[in-house]
Amino acid sequence: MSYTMFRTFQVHPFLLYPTSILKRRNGFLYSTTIPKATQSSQTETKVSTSSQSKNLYKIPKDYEAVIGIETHVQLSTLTKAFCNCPYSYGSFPNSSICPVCMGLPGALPVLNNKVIEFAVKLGLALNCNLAFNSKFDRKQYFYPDLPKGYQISQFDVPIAASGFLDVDIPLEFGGGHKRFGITRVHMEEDAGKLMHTEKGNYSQVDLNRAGVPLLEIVSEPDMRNGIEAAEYAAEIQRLVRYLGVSNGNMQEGSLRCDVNVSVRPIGQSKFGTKVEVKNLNSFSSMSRAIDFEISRQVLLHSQGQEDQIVQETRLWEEGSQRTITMRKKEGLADYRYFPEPDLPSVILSQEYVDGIQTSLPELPEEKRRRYEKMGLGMQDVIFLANDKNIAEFFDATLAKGADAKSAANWIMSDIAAFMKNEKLTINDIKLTPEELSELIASIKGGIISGKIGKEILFELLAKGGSVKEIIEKKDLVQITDPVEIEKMVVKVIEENPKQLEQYRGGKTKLQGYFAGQVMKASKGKANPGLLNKILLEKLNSTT
Amino acid sequence: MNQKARDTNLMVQKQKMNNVAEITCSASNLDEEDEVTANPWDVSRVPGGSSGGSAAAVSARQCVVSLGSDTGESVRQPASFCGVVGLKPTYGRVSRFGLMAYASSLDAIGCFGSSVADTGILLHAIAGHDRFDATSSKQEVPNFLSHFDSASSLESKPLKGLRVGLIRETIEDGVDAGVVSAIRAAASHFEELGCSLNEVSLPSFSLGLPVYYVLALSESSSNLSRYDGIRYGNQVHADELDSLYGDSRAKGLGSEVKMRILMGTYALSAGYYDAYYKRAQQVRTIIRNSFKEALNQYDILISPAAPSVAYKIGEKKNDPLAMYAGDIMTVNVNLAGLPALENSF
Repeated sequence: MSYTMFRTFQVHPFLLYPTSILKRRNGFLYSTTIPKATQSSQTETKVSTSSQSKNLYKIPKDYEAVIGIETHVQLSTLTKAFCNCPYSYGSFPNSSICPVCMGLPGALPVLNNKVIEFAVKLGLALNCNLAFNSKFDRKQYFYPDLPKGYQISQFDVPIAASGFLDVDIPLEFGGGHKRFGITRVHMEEDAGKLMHTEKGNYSQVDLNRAGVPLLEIVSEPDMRNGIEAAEYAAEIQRLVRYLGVSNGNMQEGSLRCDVNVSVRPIGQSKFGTKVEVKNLNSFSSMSRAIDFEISRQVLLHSQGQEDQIVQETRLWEEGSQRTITMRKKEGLADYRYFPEPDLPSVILSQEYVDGIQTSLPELPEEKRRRYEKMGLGMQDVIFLANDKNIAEFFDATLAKGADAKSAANWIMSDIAAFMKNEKLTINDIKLTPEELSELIASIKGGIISGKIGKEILFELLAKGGSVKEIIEKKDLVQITDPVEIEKMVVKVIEENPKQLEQYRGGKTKLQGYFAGQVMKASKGKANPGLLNKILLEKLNSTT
Repeated sequence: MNQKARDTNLMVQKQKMNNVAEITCSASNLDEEDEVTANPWDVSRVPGGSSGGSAAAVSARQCVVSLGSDTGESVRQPASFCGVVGLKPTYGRVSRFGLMAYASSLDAIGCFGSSVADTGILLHAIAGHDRFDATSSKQEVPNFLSHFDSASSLESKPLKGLRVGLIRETIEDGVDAGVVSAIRAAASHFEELGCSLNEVSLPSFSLGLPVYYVLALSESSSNLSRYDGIRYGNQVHADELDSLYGDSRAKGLGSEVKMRILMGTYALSAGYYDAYYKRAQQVRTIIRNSFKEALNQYDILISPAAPSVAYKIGEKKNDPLAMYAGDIMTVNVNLAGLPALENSF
């Protein structure tokens, strides 16, 4: 999925820094040291007249970017975190609220157990240390979408901390295996939504979303460019979908990412001033926003104006493809955290944790390693493992006896092409893993040829049915009897004396012509290998 | 709580014409603009607070029993001033769902009655676990009503075997002489009824007042944030969001409440949290442990409910600290989460 997205962003019309895109195409990543040879080839490229982009060539390439990501995952529990209101995206405003999530006087929060279960699941999947005794805290600030005037969150004792996430960078961006640290994962509640009116003299508050449980994942500042950041986010999305804790949808807001970007000269251990970037609605905009921000900061550094980089929050503008100042941070906000007195401590038992650990499904990283061990190339591995449904289909096909290579090839070529054309997912197609396995076996066993196999596949994809049925119905069994093939070969040779003469005269390419004719005569059923062997014999014999 | 009371056929009658102190923030029930609640025994004196109205109603025989809330003293102190029985149950015994929160870790709903038995009956009707209150206790409520013996059935020394501890720090300096002699008289009365009575020292006792005020004000400053005029209440229109909040709350909240919010916010703010809130919680643990220890040696501990009798209306108006100081007798109990009964002799 993420791999398709990068495809699209590469041809984006609003290229402010086209050279960055080109570099990526070549597999070189922007902010690392780049060999001089490549650098000089870039200077020949014609770019837009903006003076900023001209200066890009002169920017010293010895800066590195330091990127950290805060991800909010909205949990797909049936009800909210502290009350029993249900939640569904897009419902009529203020149709799913109660005194508790509205923060009415006298209302008290009661924790939804599923939130803990999902938090532990995600913490374990991110290889974190769990806090067996954690608590909730109040994070206090005033805003109309926060009914109580505080958010119930976790401050100093998050439920999980010190983990890591392994990702495989897509091959078109250099490939490779990367590990990013996870600082912490904690539970908190979401705020409501504010809807601003056109005129601007009033805003409306929708509290449907207030109290929905969130898990906040804070990464270590381990990412170094937009690609790594986007792949990290894509892997988080994969993970939460695999675990079933969230539908991880950036468009619906069930997965939200804020990034922090800073740059520093390579070799310096002290971090540069970090800038927060918000309003990132897709992985590709995340990647572009980060790269823009990196180049903005590096440019200021190179002009000796690094003091102009202030700790602030910037908004990514999709239209103009740049970040703009949202608000300057006047010092750090004081949230006056203190432990939530209305909720007891969250105490986990080893038994509980072990139970969840054993119930974890095979995670994307494990799958990728397993597929790699089967001998599949990284391209295949990433394609197959990264979509849970495709992986399941693939595994089911293998379970029926098919070999990995064949199954992978079929899925990635013909089946993927079909899905793309018809705009279907692998769950929508009529082909079943059993039939795919049967198809592979039939071809291997010589019952049908590869070419016939493709035809059968198409029918299976579109209409379903079974391989055996189709073979029988259409009489597609391969002809492997040498005697029969010889009969057809002889006949074709006899019917084409002119071509035979030309062949014998030196035009050996005509073998293909003969082969085609025999195929036609056999209605495509002749075994190609055998056909060509016999054909060659006959053509080259002196009789 | 209303639900439980209804379940036991208790008549729930709304308070008539009695001022409910603004968000239970008053020890004298005097801070409201409209009517003044007076002590039925002497209408020139305060009934106590913050549940002064409930106490006065029972005292004036307007109702048999009534409910109040006790965060630091708000049931026991007015009970003492009005000469009725006031009971604060163990924290968590009665659900807080529906109670406008003041200090979440200290609030408890309490009962007033003219006799201990009546008060007990009310408690029994409202006690028990509530799944809408995560801090409410899951412990079974025993049928303690069955242990209420009528006076006529009692033998001459009915309290024989009961170990009573009189907290020494409550009869020392700062307490009215009249109050000290009253409590001593009560103590000897206890002894006549057969119990063994000794003075017990709780060295951390005096720390209760500052600890209580830091914690209660901090928690309440947070609990009162929801009164912002956005969803209900008066909203003052303004051009900026901050002004809307500021003006609505400035106009809508009384001066005592505003003072407490400011103090609580200060105690929780960056740079002060450790010195105030965190420190207070740590001392609270010490206080709790000292009570626990004392209750290993004694079955009940006794003390005056207030360091003075009901003061005159208007007497402490300009001296909030003096008013706060009056809570010294009762706050430790809330900090420790213990139950306490105020009874007037």
